[in-house]
Amino acid sequence: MRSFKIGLAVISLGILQLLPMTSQAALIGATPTLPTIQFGGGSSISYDYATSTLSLQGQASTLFSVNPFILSNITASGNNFNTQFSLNSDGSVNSANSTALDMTITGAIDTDGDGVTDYSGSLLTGMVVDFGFQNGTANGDDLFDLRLNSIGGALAFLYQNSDLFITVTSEASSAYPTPFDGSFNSSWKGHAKGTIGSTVAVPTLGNNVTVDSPSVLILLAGVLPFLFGHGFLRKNANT
Amino acid sequence: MTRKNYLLLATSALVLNLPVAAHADLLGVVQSYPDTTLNQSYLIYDNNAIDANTGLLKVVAFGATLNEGPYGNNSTLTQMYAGGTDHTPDLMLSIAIDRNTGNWASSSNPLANKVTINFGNGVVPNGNGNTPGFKWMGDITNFGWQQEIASTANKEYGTFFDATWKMTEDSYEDMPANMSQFVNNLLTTAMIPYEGGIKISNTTGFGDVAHPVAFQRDWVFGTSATTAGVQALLSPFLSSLSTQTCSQNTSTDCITYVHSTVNADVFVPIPPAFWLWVGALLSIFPSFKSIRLQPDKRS
Repeated sequence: MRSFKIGLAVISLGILQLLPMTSQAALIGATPTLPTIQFGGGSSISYDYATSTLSLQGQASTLFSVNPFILSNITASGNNFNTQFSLNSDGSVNSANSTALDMTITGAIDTDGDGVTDYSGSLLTGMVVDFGFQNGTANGDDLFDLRLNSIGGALAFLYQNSDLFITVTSEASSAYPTPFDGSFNSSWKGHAKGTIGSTVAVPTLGNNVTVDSPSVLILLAGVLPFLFGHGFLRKNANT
Repeated sequence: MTRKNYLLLATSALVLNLPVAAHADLLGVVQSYPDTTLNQSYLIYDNNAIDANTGLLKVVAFGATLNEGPYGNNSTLTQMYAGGTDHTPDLMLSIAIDRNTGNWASSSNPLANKVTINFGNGVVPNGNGNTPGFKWMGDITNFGWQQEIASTANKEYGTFFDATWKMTEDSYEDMPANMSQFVNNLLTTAMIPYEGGIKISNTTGFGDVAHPVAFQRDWVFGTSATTAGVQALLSPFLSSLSTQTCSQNTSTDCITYVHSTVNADVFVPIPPAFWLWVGALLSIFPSFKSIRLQPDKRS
């Protein structure tokens, strides 16, 4: 009976861990791998308190890959990189987020350098499943990172079987007087530059709910002793 | 305890508190516009590149995007520095560092403390050939880096760097007629009172390697920098680095390759009166792949 209770407690802990893992009062902490897309100093990151919406937008400029070697400019007029998604008051991704695409990169790109556009229109899309932030690390510079899945668009083939990961540096800037202050209790806006790349895919339980490996391990750690313990008790009871 | 012992204890405490080496805090540079973002950047540090006491921190990039301002309708101009059979990035920044302290080092070495930004086809002296482009060059005047923050469990050392610079040369080649006012060193003269800024972020940083040991070993930071493919692309910049892989956090004169995200930008200290040219350039240079200058022709 004791092993049953312990097993139950650990399973409960595991289930709690499996609940939506979209809250990050710190950075997620991954590092995107190739292929990467850069967005530059004309970009911005902002939060609208009235609608609880976080927006990251600007100009996605170059696509870079080593195998095969690709270094191509994404041509577009105006902002061609837009990410918008809903946050809870603690800065976690709202799991009731709409099903509309959170991130889109549009434009035209010549990936083989022959002077002819190979892909145009919707180049890359995704859904935000995790969001992290770190306020004022270096003289007021803020850091953000995002994990996205459900990847679509003409360049989605470059990110097969992986998630997208975005790192954002928001530098203290003379152009933005009200940058992120560590909270989501008011609207703010700051400069943004960063990198979009690939990262190991994380399983999902549904819309905007990721499952991290430690949760699964905790659940397994709870289930196995319970099953073995329960079987052991039954065996002893039969003898 | 006697008075003498108290004095000895106090003196010992003072000695213990003396810094092993001076810390170079971040300078506190604030980003401004126009801003040149260095695309797909790699951070390469050679701890004894200049001499036994002076290392060189280089930022190489595969492209650059000039941003006129912070709004969506502002002009941008993207330049790629590799393509076709040329897969080598450009050297954009080189900063001399005292390897014993991590402090910025003034140096007479011609390769040290330089900012080089090319747009269009740079400046290719090719007679009657029409290869429009321009080049800005400058000198690094100071440099700082992020220290460990005692109040957090994070590792901040080596995650942020900043610098100041001063334009020393602007050159133009085959500029179109509507921009004929841009002649060599026009901006350099106009910007004598101004100083530009540089900000570099490096997500992984020096990790558990303490100060100043981090400046006494070689580093290569960047996306997938641990892979043979990326190291092959960077090879022209790696030949002088140590071939001995660092095995411990206390190791010196060795090399560590780190998968990290490096973002860098250079603020060009252009007075507002000169900003109008950016929009004009966009219509002339939609996107260029540069003609690579021979190393001996770089100046």
